[in-house]
Amino acid sequence: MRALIIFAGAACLALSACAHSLSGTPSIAAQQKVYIAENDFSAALQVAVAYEALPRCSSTQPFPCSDTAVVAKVTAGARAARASLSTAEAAVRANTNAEAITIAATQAQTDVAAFAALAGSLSK
Amino acid sequence: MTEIFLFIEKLLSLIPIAIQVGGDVTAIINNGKSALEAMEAENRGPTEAEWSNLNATIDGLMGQLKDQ
Repeated sequence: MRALIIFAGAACLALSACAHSLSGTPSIAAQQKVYIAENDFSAALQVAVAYEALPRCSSTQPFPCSDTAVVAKVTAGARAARASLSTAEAAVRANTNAEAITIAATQAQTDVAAFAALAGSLSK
Repeated sequence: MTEIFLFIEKLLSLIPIAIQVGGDVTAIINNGKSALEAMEAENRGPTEAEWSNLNATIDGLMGQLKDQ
């Protein structure tokens, strides 16, 4: 599950760079960075899906298994990050409002970081 | 940005064997890397097709997540 942290962290880094590099008219670089953040998110999501696909842990189901409560939290985190990334994508593709792009990218960064924190709790 | 990809690839080796998705994850990362290289070479943002393909991938994965 460290992979979830890693990939979500990469998305977070990409969005962070996106938010700080914006100035004036939204740029091609902003679009590229949101694209890469989404791509990194999809990689982390692949791991989350694989974890979810594991049989649920129980007295008769030892490791490798997935915890029901953790699955619920990871799913909620993924949905929040996905919604934020979609907003950031719409903002950079509209390419009309630099401030809106910065706000959307920052929110996406926050939600992706929260997703990474959830992933971090899996290893404890 | 390249550094991020290299970092991810290095850490892929840490994925537990129990979750054998390294190949799929590598493919996603490599596809993203290739797309970005093309964008940088052509000084452009993602095309409609690139956005559409990526969103389709994410939507497909999101559809596999369950709440419990």
